[in-house]
Amino acid sequence: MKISSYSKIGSRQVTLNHQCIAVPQTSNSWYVDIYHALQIDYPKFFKMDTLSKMGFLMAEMVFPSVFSDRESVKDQVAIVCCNSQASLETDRKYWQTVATNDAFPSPSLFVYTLPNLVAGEIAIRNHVLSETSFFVEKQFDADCLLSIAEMSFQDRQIKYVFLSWYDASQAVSYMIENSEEDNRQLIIKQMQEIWMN
Amino acid sequence: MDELILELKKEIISALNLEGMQPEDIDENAPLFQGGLDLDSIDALEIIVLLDKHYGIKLNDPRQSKEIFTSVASIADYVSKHRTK
Repeated sequence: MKISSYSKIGSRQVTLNHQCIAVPQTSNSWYVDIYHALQIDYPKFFKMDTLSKMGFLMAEMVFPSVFSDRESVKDQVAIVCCNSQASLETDRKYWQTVATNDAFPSPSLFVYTLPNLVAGEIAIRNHVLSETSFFVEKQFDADCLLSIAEMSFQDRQIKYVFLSWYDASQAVSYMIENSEEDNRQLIIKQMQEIWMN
Repeated sequence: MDELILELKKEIISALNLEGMQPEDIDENAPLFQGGLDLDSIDALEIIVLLDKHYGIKLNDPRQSKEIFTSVASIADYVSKHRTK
Protein backbone atom coordinates (compact mmCIF):
# COMPACT_ATOMS: atom_id res chain seq x y z
CA MET A 1 0.00 0.00 0.00
CA LYS A 2 0.96 3.62 -0.38
CA ILE A 3 -0.56 7.08 0.09
CA SER A 4 -1.12 8.35 -3.47
CA SER A 5 -2.47 11.71 -2.38
CA TYR A 6 -3.78 13.45 0.70
CA SER A 7 -5.59 16.63 1.67
CA LYS A 8 -6.12 18.32 4.99
CA ILE A 9 -8.47 21.04 6.13
CA GLY A 10 -7.18 22.91 9.16
CA SER A 11 -8.56 26.01 10.81
CA ARG A 12 -6.02 28.26 9.07
CA GLN A 13 -5.15 26.53 5.82
CA VAL A 14 -5.97 23.78 3.38
CA THR A 15 -3.23 21.55 2.03
CA LEU A 16 -2.99 19.09 -0.81
CA ASN A 17 0.11 16.91 -0.79
CA HIS A 18 2.19 19.33 1.33
CA GLN A 19 1.07 22.33 -0.76
CA CYS A 20 -1.06 25.10 0.73
CA ILE A 21 -4.15 25.49 -1.44
CA ALA A 22 -6.19 28.07 0.46
CA VAL A 23 -6.23 30.31 3.52
CA PRO A 24 -9.24 32.16 4.99
CA GLN A 25 -10.13 35.13 2.77
CA THR A 26 -13.39 36.60 4.01
CA SER A 27 -15.61 36.75 7.04
CA ASN A 28 -17.81 34.09 5.40
CA SER A 29 -17.69 30.45 6.33
CA TRP A 30 -14.22 28.98 6.01
CA TYR A 31 -15.68 26.15 3.95
CA VAL A 32 -17.27 28.61 1.53
CA ASP A 33 -13.87 30.28 1.19
CA ILE A 34 -12.34 26.93 0.27
CA TYR A 35 -15.17 26.25 -2.19
CA HIS A 36 -14.43 29.51 -3.99
CA ALA A 37 -10.65 29.02 -3.83
CA LEU A 38 -11.06 25.65 -5.55
CA GLN A 39 -13.35 27.27 -8.17
CA ILE A 40 -16.05 24.65 -7.69
CA ASP A 41 -19.45 24.98 -9.35
CA TYR A 42 -21.76 22.64 -7.42
CA PRO A 43 -24.72 24.50 -5.84
CA LYS A 44 -25.73 21.50 -3.75
CA PHE A 45 -22.61 22.15 -1.65
CA PHE A 46 -24.39 25.00 0.12
CA LYS A 47 -27.14 22.68 1.33
CA MET A 48 -24.74 20.22 2.94
CA ASP A 49 -23.98 20.00 6.65
CA THR A 50 -20.47 20.76 7.92
CA LEU A 51 -19.38 17.13 7.91
CA SER A 52 -20.39 16.68 4.27
CA LYS A 53 -18.84 19.99 3.27
CA MET A 54 -15.50 18.94 4.75
CA GLY A 55 -15.54 15.54 3.06
CA PHE A 56 -16.73 16.98 -0.24
CA LEU A 57 -13.97 19.62 -0.29
CA MET A 58 -11.21 17.14 0.57
CA ALA A 59 -12.42 14.82 -2.18
CA GLU A 60 -12.49 17.76 -4.61
CA MET A 61 -8.75 18.06 -4.09
CA VAL A 62 -7.72 14.42 -3.84
CA PHE A 63 -9.77 12.77 -6.60
CA PRO A 64 -8.52 14.98 -9.46
CA SER A 65 -4.96 14.52 -8.25
CA VAL A 66 -5.31 10.76 -8.73
CA PHE A 67 -7.93 10.35 -11.47
CA SER A 68 -7.68 12.50 -14.59
CA ASP A 69 -11.30 11.99 -15.66
CA ARG A 70 -13.87 13.15 -13.12
CA GLU A 71 -16.80 11.93 -15.19
CA SER A 72 -15.63 8.34 -15.51
CA VAL A 73 -17.43 5.74 -13.41
CA LYS A 74 -15.18 4.49 -10.62
CA ASP A 75 -15.86 1.01 -9.33
CA GLN A 76 -12.33 0.49 -8.04
CA VAL A 77 -12.52 3.07 -5.23
CA ALA A 78 -13.95 2.53 -1.75
CA ILE A 79 -14.94 5.51 0.37
CA VAL A 80 -14.36 5.24 4.11
CA CYS A 81 -15.22 8.10 6.46
CA CYS A 82 -14.67 8.16 10.22
CA ASN A 83 -15.17 10.56 13.11
CA SER A 84 -15.88 10.52 16.82
CA GLN A 85 -19.23 12.31 16.96
CA ALA A 86 -21.25 10.87 14.08
CA SER A 87 -23.77 13.58 13.04
CA LEU A 88 -24.11 15.13 16.51
CA GLU A 89 -23.78 18.75 15.29
CA THR A 90 -26.64 18.33 12.80
CA ASP A 91 -28.65 16.24 15.29
CA ARG A 92 -28.56 19.22 17.68
CA LYS A 93 -29.58 21.68 14.96
CA TYR A 94 -32.44 19.43 13.89
CA TRP A 95 -33.55 18.98 17.49
CA GLN A 96 -33.83 22.79 17.79
CA THR A 97 -36.33 22.76 14.90
CA VAL A 98 -38.58 20.23 16.62
CA ALA A 99 -38.15 21.28 20.26
CA THR A 100 -41.05 23.71 20.47
CA ASN A 101 -44.81 23.18 20.29
CA ASP A 102 -45.17 25.12 17.06
CA ALA A 103 -42.22 23.30 15.55
CA PHE A 104 -41.46 23.22 11.84
CA PRO A 105 -39.02 20.33 11.37
CA SER A 106 -36.50 21.00 8.63
CA PRO A 107 -36.37 18.21 6.00
CA SER A 108 -32.97 19.33 4.71
CA LEU A 109 -31.51 19.19 8.23
CA PHE A 110 -33.14 15.83 8.88
CA VAL A 111 -31.41 14.32 5.84
CA TYR A 112 -28.01 15.02 7.38
CA THR A 113 -28.82 13.39 10.71
CA LEU A 114 -27.25 10.34 9.09
CA PRO A 115 -23.45 10.75 9.25
CA ASN A 116 -22.83 8.48 6.26
CA LEU A 117 -24.36 11.14 4.00
CA VAL A 118 -20.83 12.54 3.63
CA ALA A 119 -19.71 9.32 1.93
CA GLY A 120 -22.75 9.49 -0.34
CA GLU A 121 -22.07 13.09 -1.35
CA ILE A 122 -18.48 12.21 -2.28
CA ALA A 123 -19.62 9.14 -4.22
CA ILE A 124 -22.26 11.05 -6.19
CA ARG A 125 -19.90 13.85 -7.13
CA ASN A 126 -17.07 11.54 -8.19
CA HIS A 127 -19.16 8.77 -9.79
CA VAL A 128 -17.97 6.17 -7.32
CA LEU A 129 -20.18 3.09 -7.56
CA SER A 130 -18.36 0.79 -5.15
CA GLU A 131 -18.42 0.48 -1.37
CA THR A 132 -18.99 3.44 0.95
CA SER A 133 -18.95 3.28 4.74
CA PHE A 134 -18.86 5.42 7.86
CA PHE A 135 -17.29 4.43 11.17
CA VAL A 136 -17.38 6.09 14.58
CA GLU A 137 -14.21 5.79 16.65
CA LYS A 138 -13.15 7.44 19.89
CA GLN A 139 -10.25 9.34 18.37
CA PHE A 140 -7.92 9.53 15.37
CA ASP A 141 -6.04 6.25 15.22
CA ALA A 142 -3.97 5.74 12.06
CA ASP A 143 -3.51 2.04 12.75
CA CYS A 144 -7.25 1.50 13.09
CA LEU A 145 -8.03 3.60 10.00
CA LEU A 146 -5.53 1.68 7.91
CA SER A 147 -7.04 -1.59 9.12
CA ILE A 148 -10.39 -0.46 7.71
CA ALA A 149 -8.72 0.32 4.37
CA GLU A 150 -7.12 -3.12 4.40
CA MET A 151 -10.55 -4.68 4.90
CA SER A 152 -11.78 -2.82 1.83
CA PHE A 153 -8.84 -4.18 -0.19
CA GLN A 154 -10.00 -7.72 0.55
CA ASP A 155 -12.46 -7.01 -2.26
CA ARG A 156 -10.09 -7.59 -5.21
CA GLN A 157 -11.96 -5.04 -7.29
CA ILE A 158 -10.91 -2.25 -4.93
CA LYS A 159 -7.61 -0.60 -5.89
CA TYR A 160 -7.97 2.65 -3.93
CA VAL A 161 -9.55 3.67 -0.64
CA PHE A 162 -10.48 7.29 0.00
CA LEU A 163 -9.92 7.24 3.76
CA SER A 164 -10.96 10.27 5.82
CA TRP A 165 -11.14 11.45 9.43
CA TYR A 166 -13.12 14.44 10.73
CA ASP A 167 -12.80 16.53 13.87
CA ALA A 168 -14.82 19.64 14.73
CA SER A 169 -12.28 22.02 13.22
CA GLN A 170 -10.03 19.90 11.03
CA ALA A 171 -10.21 16.92 8.76
CA VAL A 172 -7.82 14.81 6.75
CA SER A 173 -8.16 12.44 3.81
CA TYR A 174 -5.78 9.97 2.23
CA MET A 175 -6.09 8.15 -1.06
CA ILE A 176 -4.59 4.79 -0.15
CA GLU A 177 -3.50 2.77 -3.17
CA ASN A 178 -3.18 -0.98 -2.99
CA SER A 179 0.19 -2.37 -4.04
CA GLU A 180 2.43 -5.32 -3.37
CA GLU A 181 4.65 -3.31 -1.03
CA ASP A 182 4.41 -4.30 2.62
CA ASN A 183 5.14 -1.00 4.37
CA ARG A 184 2.28 -0.78 6.83
CA GLN A 185 4.26 0.83 9.65
CA LEU A 186 5.64 3.49 7.32
CA ILE A 187 2.14 4.41 6.11
CA ILE A 188 0.84 4.63 9.67
CA LYS A 189 3.72 6.96 10.53
CA GLN A 190 3.02 9.11 7.45
CA MET A 191 -0.69 9.27 8.28
CA GLN A 192 0.07 10.40 11.83
CA GLU A 193 2.55 13.04 10.67
CA ILE A 194 0.08 14.46 8.16
CA TRP A 195 -2.62 14.60 10.79
CA MET A 196 -0.40 16.20 13.44
CA ASN A 197 1.30 18.83 11.21
CA MET B 1 -49.32 39.50 -7.02
CA ASP B 2 -45.90 40.89 -7.98
CA GLU B 3 -45.21 41.65 -4.33
CA LEU B 4 -46.13 38.09 -3.31
CA ILE B 5 -43.93 36.62 -6.07
CA LEU B 6 -40.97 38.68 -4.87
CA GLU B 7 -41.64 37.62 -1.27
CA LEU B 8 -41.80 33.95 -2.28
CA LYS B 9 -38.58 34.19 -4.24
CA LYS B 10 -36.80 35.64 -1.19
CA GLU B 11 -38.24 32.93 1.08
CA ILE B 12 -37.29 30.15 -1.33
CA ILE B 13 -33.70 31.48 -1.62
CA SER B 14 -33.44 31.58 2.16
CA ALA B 15 -35.14 28.23 2.90
CA LEU B 16 -33.24 26.32 0.21
CA ASN B 17 -29.93 28.07 0.89
CA LEU B 18 -29.49 29.07 -2.75
CA GLU B 19 -26.12 30.73 -2.20
CA GLY B 20 -25.36 33.77 -4.33
CA MET B 21 -28.81 33.84 -5.95
CA GLN B 22 -30.93 37.00 -6.05
CA PRO B 23 -34.75 37.19 -6.54
CA GLU B 24 -34.22 38.65 -10.02
CA ASP B 25 -32.23 35.56 -11.00
CA ILE B 26 -35.38 33.44 -10.68
CA ASP B 27 -37.84 33.45 -13.57
CA GLU B 28 -41.24 33.10 -11.87
CA ASN B 29 -42.56 31.13 -14.85
CA ALA B 30 -39.60 28.73 -15.15
CA PRO B 31 -40.05 25.15 -13.92
CA LEU B 32 -38.84 24.54 -10.37
CA PHE B 33 -38.04 20.86 -10.97
CA GLN B 34 -36.34 19.14 -13.91
CA GLY B 35 -35.09 22.44 -15.32
CA GLY B 36 -35.11 26.02 -14.07
CA LEU B 37 -33.92 25.92 -10.46
CA ASP B 38 -33.59 22.14 -10.77
CA LEU B 39 -34.81 21.48 -7.23
CA ASP B 40 -34.99 18.00 -5.68
CA SER B 41 -37.45 16.17 -3.43
CA ILE B 42 -35.92 17.54 -0.22
CA ASP B 43 -36.30 21.06 -1.60
CA ALA B 44 -39.97 20.29 -2.28
CA LEU B 45 -40.40 19.30 1.36
CA GLU B 46 -38.74 22.54 2.45
CA ILE B 47 -41.21 24.53 0.32
CA ILE B 48 -44.12 22.59 1.87
CA VAL B 49 -42.80 23.56 5.32
CA LEU B 50 -42.35 27.16 4.15
CA LEU B 51 -45.97 27.39 2.96
CA ASP B 52 -47.25 25.99 6.26
CA LYS B 53 -45.01 28.22 8.38
CA HIS B 54 -45.54 31.52 6.58
CA TYR B 55 -48.99 31.21 5.00
CA GLY B 56 -50.78 28.55 7.05
CA ILE B 57 -51.21 26.31 4.02
CA LYS B 58 -51.17 22.55 4.53
CA LEU B 59 -50.72 20.45 1.39
CA ASN B 60 -51.94 16.89 1.80
CA ASP B 61 -52.57 15.75 -1.76
CA PRO B 62 -49.32 14.88 -3.65
CA ARG B 63 -51.08 15.24 -7.06
CA GLN B 64 -52.19 18.72 -6.11
CA SER B 65 -48.65 19.59 -4.95
CA LYS B 66 -47.20 18.68 -8.34
CA GLU B 67 -49.48 21.20 -10.01
CA ILE B 68 -48.87 23.93 -7.45
CA PHE B 69 -45.09 23.50 -7.57
CA THR B 70 -44.84 24.03 -11.33
CA SER B 71 -43.25 27.46 -10.89
CA VAL B 72 -42.95 30.35 -8.44
CA ALA B 73 -45.91 31.99 -10.25
CA SER B 74 -48.13 28.93 -9.72
CA ILE B 75 -47.19 28.80 -6.03
CA ALA B 76 -47.99 32.51 -5.69
CA ASP B 77 -51.35 31.96 -7.37
CA TYR B 78 -52.22 29.14 -4.94
CA VAL B 79 -50.99 31.09 -1.90
CA SER B 80 -53.05 34.16 -2.82
CA LYS B 81 -56.21 32.02 -2.91
CA HIS B 82 -55.64 29.74 0.08
CA ARG B 83 -53.49 31.55 2.63
CA THR B 84 -54.81 31.67 6.19
CA LYS B 85 -52.18 34.04 7.53
